[in-house]
Formats: sequence, structure tokens, C-alpha cells
Amino acid sequence: MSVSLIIISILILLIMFGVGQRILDSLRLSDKAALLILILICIGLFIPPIWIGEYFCFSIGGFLIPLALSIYLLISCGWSRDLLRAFIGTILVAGIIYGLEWLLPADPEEMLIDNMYIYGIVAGLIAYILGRSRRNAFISCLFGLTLAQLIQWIVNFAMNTPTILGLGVGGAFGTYIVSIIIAVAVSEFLGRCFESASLDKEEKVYNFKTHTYDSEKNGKLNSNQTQKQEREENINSVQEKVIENEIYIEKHDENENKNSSEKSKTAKMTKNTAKNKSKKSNSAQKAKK
Amino acid sequence: MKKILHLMLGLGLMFLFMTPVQIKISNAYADTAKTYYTIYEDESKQKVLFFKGDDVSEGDMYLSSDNKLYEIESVDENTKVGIAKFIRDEELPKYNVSRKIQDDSESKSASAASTKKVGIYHTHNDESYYTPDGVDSVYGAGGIHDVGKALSDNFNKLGIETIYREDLHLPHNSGAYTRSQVTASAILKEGVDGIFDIHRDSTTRSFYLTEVDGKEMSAVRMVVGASSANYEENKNFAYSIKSYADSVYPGLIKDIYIGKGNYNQQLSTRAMLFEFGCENIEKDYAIKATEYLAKVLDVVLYGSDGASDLSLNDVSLSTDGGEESVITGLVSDSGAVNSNTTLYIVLGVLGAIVIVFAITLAVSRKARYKVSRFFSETFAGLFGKKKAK
Repeated sequence: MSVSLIIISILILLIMFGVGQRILDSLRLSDKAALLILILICIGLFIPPIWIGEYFCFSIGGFLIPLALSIYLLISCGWSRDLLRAFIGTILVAGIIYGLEWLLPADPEEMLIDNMYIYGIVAGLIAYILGRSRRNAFISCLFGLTLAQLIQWIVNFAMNTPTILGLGVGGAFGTYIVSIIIAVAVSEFLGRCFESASLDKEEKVYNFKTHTYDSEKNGKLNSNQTQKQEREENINSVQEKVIENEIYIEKHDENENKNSSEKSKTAKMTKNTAKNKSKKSNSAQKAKK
Repeated sequence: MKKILHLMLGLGLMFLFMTPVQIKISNAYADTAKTYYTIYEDESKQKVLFFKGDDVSEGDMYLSSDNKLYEIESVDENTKVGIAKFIRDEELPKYNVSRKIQDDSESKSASAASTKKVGIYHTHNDESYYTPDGVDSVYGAGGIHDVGKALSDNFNKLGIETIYREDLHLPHNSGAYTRSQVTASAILKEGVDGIFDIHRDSTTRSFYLTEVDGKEMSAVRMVVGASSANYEENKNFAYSIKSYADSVYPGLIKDIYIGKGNYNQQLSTRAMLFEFGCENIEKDYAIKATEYLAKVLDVVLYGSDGASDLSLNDVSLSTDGGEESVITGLVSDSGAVNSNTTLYIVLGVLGAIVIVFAITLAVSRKARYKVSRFFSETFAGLFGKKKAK
């Protein structure tokens, strides 16, 4: 079994057990959507690459599905500062990977670890430093790898030594998937390390009215015990309301189901009675005749 | 935070601008500095075990011509000198054959017609031979392509269909194997029985100079990737090739180097990297070796029943007891190395699942409701109906 498939299988299991929910939230994905995408990638890796002309091909599982997902991520994050960060991240990742191809040893026996892991670590680091974003790690890794390969492809064409540009190709061993997963994992790991450390220093509470963080530093949050208790009570009441809403939604769904089944039953009943009536009237008419 | 951002931006731009400089440095290195690793059998440094052009790392394994397995214990990167440690005498698969002495009239015969198919490509297209190419490296198709072409022609003479791809994977840097993976995958899609990456080493001429059948030629080294998922299978493939070649054409196979990395061997259980001599040996010598290696691979892959008569003409199959031995080919053991069977099985299973799923949807209203709910939950943000505010 290939490295890509092993890593994807582990991811599927982790998601099924509810691990990594925070990463999925940052990627704007539900766990079901993530599972569906990972299964599609697995299937896509077994489909032969699609060739366009003699010198270009791409893999469905290794490139097309991650590309579609990164476009969705770009759209979902809005055309804001995140887009600029993703763009800068892509340029930096592409530049560094292109440079690393020359700096790293050319022969496999000299490599300490495979290139795909190094590319993933680079993309994850850059994305985190630029915007502490797991989403950008995904986007800049995919687009950065693509851009680096594209630059080399253009250089080779310009030097009259055309090569093949195979995006995410290499059977189930496509480097893109592994690199992307590592990039997201690295940014998440850094996030866990630094963000949890910063939380220990200072308590921050998100203010839904002003859409800013209230903290003791900016004077909007008091460390008074009674106020803390109030806040906790508020949080508890909000959580209770959320639970009530969920119960209400579930009941509502069940009622809807019942209603729809009852409606269909009554509809069938009315149809049957109408049919019986018409049959009776027909037979009566025949009898009259 | 801003400082880190600026630092990263600066580093990135530096890499971008440094790239052309790196290319120049690398080319300069290719032109001038030519040193190779010398590995000694023990710390007394009395006997040289082998030479190697590319990097040698601690922990790599080496199988010598007399089938002794060594592990690289230490390497000094400055002097490029290393010490190896003897591990054990390795037992290779046994071939009950010997070289047959014959006259010319006997040797020419028709090839066995079959559906034998192999693939050849070059990850490092630039590799060349000083004689007669004049340089050891060119930015394009180097002299190594002539060796690959000769091997392909020799396979064809033995009735083996060859998919020989001369796609370029330049430049000769750490991305070359990533680029050649596309070519290797494309070859494997054709359902070949074996796939061979043809290279040349970078050492002294005398190290690779050998004599087979009374003719001077270049010896061949095999390289096996220890990090590959198919490491055991590829190692056994290399051992089989060496064992058979040692019985019939002694001296043809120099040794086996087992290094870190994949060498694209993770793609197939019968993938092999061959080093045909070095830049200092004559290209014709490397080309001569292709004829013998093609015959070896023919018998090792297809056995005595499937191999061409031309390959079997050189072999005496009779045992000491007078009975004729049968060589079982690796292909007859396990079939084509990458047939589309796996793909068909996967597609078949998927098709069956889709059909069962469609029937369930058509029959059960509950299933339809569950599916619609699953999709509305999964893609509510994209395709779901917007709730009225």
C-alpha cells in the first residue's frame, strides 16, 4: 500500500472518531464532506491521469479534487486579506521549492527524507507565519507546488528541451496529497504550540456585538470574580439555548416526517375512495343500461 | 510578527533570485569537480571494496561480486572515503545452469513468439560518456540514450516488445525522480513485465572494465532502493539477475548497491536501476553489455519455457544427473507487473456499489430522505436552499 493511501486511510479513521475537528472547521468542511472528499481522492488516485497534448497531464485524485477544494476554500474565505496571504504564500512556496530542488541532493541515496515531506513542511511553515492559517497551508502548498513545476516546465521549453508536466501524477504515490496533508498538519501543530501558549498568558473573550476580543490588556475585561461568574453563567445559558434549539430541530424534523407519511397515506386513501366511487357509479350505469 | 514576515519575504525572494546562480554553480560542478567515493573493506584500508560516483551514506548496503553483504559503517565526506562492515554471505536464488560452449552454426535460431513486454526510460537524460561524446553531461539527451536504445534493440531481437521512452526529465537535480515518475507510470500503464531505468556511474574506467565471452565490455551495477515499499521484491529481482548472470556470463554484473530512497521502484515489484559503466569508459563497451543483459533478463523474467532461443543458446540446462532443468521465470510466477487488473477490480466493486445504491434509492423512500439529508448537511453552504430571513 502506498504512502498516500496509508495517510488518507489514517485520516479517514481519525475523522470518523471526531479527531481534527478544529482543522476541518478552519477548512470550512463538515466531517461528512471531508470523508467524502478523502474517499473521492482515493478513487481518483486509481484513475489514470488525463493527458492534454504530449507534454501535459494531471491526476484526478492527486490534483483535480484538491484544486476544486482549494478553489472552494478561496471562495469561502472571501476576497479579503486572506486571498493576498494565499497569493504571497504561493509565490514564496513556489520560489523556495524551486530553489530547494537545486539545493537538495540529486540522488535518492543522499536524501534524508523524501522531497514530498520537505515540500509539505515548507508550505506549512510559510502559511503559518504569514497568517496562522491552515486554509492557506492547503492552498499555498497546492498552488506553490504547481507553480514550481510550471516554472521548470516553461524553462525547459524555453531551452528547447521539453519535459512532461504531470500535476499530482505518479499513481497512488502523487506527491501533492502527502505534501498538502503535511502542510496542514505542520500549521496546526504550530498553531497548537503557540496559540495555546498565548492563551495561558492572557484571557480573551470574543465579543459578538463589536466582533473583537475583550481582554484585560485592552481594559474591556475585568478579572473581578463576580464578573467572571456572570460570564460563565451567560455562556451556560447560551449553551442551554443551543441544546434546546437542537432538540426543537430534531422534533421538527420528526414531525415533518410523520406529516409527510400521513399526508401520503391520506392521499392514497382519497385516491382509493375516489376509484371505488367511480367504479360503483360505472357499475350502476351499466346496470341501468 | 512583522519582522518574521519581512524575514520570510526576504528569504523567499533570495531563493527566487538565487535560482539562476544555483543553476550556474551546478553546471560548473558538472564540468569540473569529479570525485568519487572509495569504500574500503575494513579499517586497515588494505583492500578497496568498491567505488561509487553518487553519494554513499552510512547504513547503505552493498553486495559484492562474490555475494558478500556489507554495511557502510562510516563515511568521511571531506576525503570521500568510507569503511564497510561485513555482514554475511548472502544466498542468492539458485539457477541450475552453466555456460554452453558452442560453435557459431548452432547459435542462430528463431525467437520464441509471445506477448513479452518491458519498459525502458532514463531519469538522468544528461549522462554521457567522454568517449565518444566528448563530455560527461549535456543539457538534453546524452550518450546514455544510445545505451538505452541498444538495450531496446536487443530486447526486440529476442522477441520482447519494448516501450522505450526518451522523455526528458531535466535538469539533473532532486526533482528529476519526481518528473520521471510520470514517465514510469505511463510505461507501467502499458502492462509491462519489467521496467528499467538506465544510468551510468561516475568512477574510474578500470573499476567497470570487464571481460565476458572473451570480449572487453563494461560491467553493470544494479541499484535497489531500500525506502521503496517493494524493497524485498526488488532486491530478490536483483539477486535473481545477478545469480543467473554469474552462472552464464560471469563478470557482467559488477555488484548491487542498496541505497536509501525509492528510485521510482515503489511503482513496481520488477523495477530496476542499471548503471552501465561510468563516464570514463567507452560508450561502445556499455552498448556491448546491453546484448548480454537483455539475454539475462529474458531468461530471468520468462524462464526456460518463455525465453527466446537466442537467449537459451548460450545456456546448458542439463544437470549433473543428466536431466534437463527448468527455469521458472519471475513473470510466470506472478503475471504482468502492472496489469490493469487492480483498476478493473476497483471499478467493478465501485460499479456494483453504485448499482446497489441506485436500486435502494429507487425502492426505499427512507433511503431517499436520508441521502437528501446527508447532501443538504454536507453541502448546505453551496447547494442547499437558502432560508428566508
